[in-house]
Amino acid sequence: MVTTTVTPDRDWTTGEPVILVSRCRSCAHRWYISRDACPACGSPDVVTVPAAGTGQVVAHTTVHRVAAGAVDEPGPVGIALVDLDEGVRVMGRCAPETVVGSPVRVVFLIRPGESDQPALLPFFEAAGP
Amino acid sequence: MGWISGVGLTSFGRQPGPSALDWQVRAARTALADAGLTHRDVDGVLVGYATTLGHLMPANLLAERIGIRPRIAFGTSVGGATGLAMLNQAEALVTAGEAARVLVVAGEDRASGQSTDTSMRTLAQVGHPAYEVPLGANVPAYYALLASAYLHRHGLAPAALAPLAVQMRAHAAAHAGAQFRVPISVADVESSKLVAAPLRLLDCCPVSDGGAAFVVLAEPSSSRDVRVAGMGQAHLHQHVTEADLEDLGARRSAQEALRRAGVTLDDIDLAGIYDSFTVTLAMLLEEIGLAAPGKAGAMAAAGEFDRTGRIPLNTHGGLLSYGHAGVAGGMAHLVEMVMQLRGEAGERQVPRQVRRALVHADGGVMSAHVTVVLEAA
Repeated sequence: MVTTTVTPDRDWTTGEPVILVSRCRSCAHRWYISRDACPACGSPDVVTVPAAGTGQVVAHTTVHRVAAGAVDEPGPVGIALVDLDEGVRVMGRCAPETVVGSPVRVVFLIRPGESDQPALLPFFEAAGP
Repeated sequence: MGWISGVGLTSFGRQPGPSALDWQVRAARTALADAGLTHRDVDGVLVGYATTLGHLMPANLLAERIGIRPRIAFGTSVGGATGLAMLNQAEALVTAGEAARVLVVAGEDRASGQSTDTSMRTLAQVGHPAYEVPLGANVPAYYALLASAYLHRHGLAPAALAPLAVQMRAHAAAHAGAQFRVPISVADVESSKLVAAPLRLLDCCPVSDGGAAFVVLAEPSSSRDVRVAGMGQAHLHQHVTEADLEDLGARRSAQEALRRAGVTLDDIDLAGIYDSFTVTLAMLLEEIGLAAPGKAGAMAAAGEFDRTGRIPLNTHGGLLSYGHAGVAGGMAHLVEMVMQLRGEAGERQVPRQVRRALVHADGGVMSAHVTVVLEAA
């Protein structure tokens, strides 16, 4: 039987300072990029919960020429891939001196958005040893 | 099973003037002439997308321009893997008897037909529009993230990738059509400007104008024709955050192509591997199994990928130095391997008997993979 679950539907991409993680209640698969059904088993029985925002850096770069389409200044900007403690990989901003393998936690940068609404960007800062 | 009969490849570079369609026409006419066919012989037309054209029906557009009235025509979009994906479709069409002579074409004025910002914005859309692009990520950044993880995993410095760029340039020096022909050193790569750390300018392919084409037949028409011995594909993710860095799809794709060809990697004499960035080339070579993990750069430094080496690689100079005119860029590797297997590569000809080549392309951020094993007739 498929149950309908009330889930938070706003995250940093829509103005809420939070990263959401989805989990399939049928097969336990977890993912980041929002979907209404599990990409592993197809089940629509999905719960979406706020992530703690802590994790470990998998990769990082400093972009010296930022593409048009970014919400703010033309760079250089640090970008990281981070494996959150909840078991999903996310992309965010980071400091240029970020070290692969180091623990980080998310904060949210506020940037002028396209309309009246400011845009949020996840920024991963060092979380200590 | 299909046969590649004619091939066409224009020069690549910043060559203002011709439109995307003009480049396609040039490459198509060269391939038809090489196959000894006229446009009236063609009954299937497949054309890759062009970012400067953005047309809904690129195959129909080209067919009308040349005067072809094909039974089957369609456009294709799988990023950098588009050319080989079209080969797979052409091969399937001729094998099934749906078409007898399929013309596969790509070309665009990617360098001259739009601003660099427009080009970067278009290409960055392989990233997620809400979760990745607003962060300022672009295609070099996605691959720089892969490079960061790759170098960390293998305990390597960024300079470890530089010999791959040096080798591509050495090969391009022997091709009159290449965009960049002046030899470079590891020190040149290391002193070029940072684009997206750890990738520097000479770790990145350029953007180019140009075209490429080939003709696929059900049966060989001459001893110059090259057999499509086996093909494979894998499409496991679109966005880099969803990629399994240990299983991107290249191994699966290559193994399927080898299995269908009834051969193993030991039977491969030379290779054409997609090289949008040095790290692309390293990761593909290693996942396919043509290089040991973390060793692709060292193998390049040792000359193993040279025309005279153990596994000659991208003997036209690859995307890194021949250039990258979009879909045609990934088709240039195929054209070059056909030339080598025919023994028609001139001063670039590998100086020993070559019978089998493996060609592999990826699209997106290691998202789409297509492999072909080619055999000399």
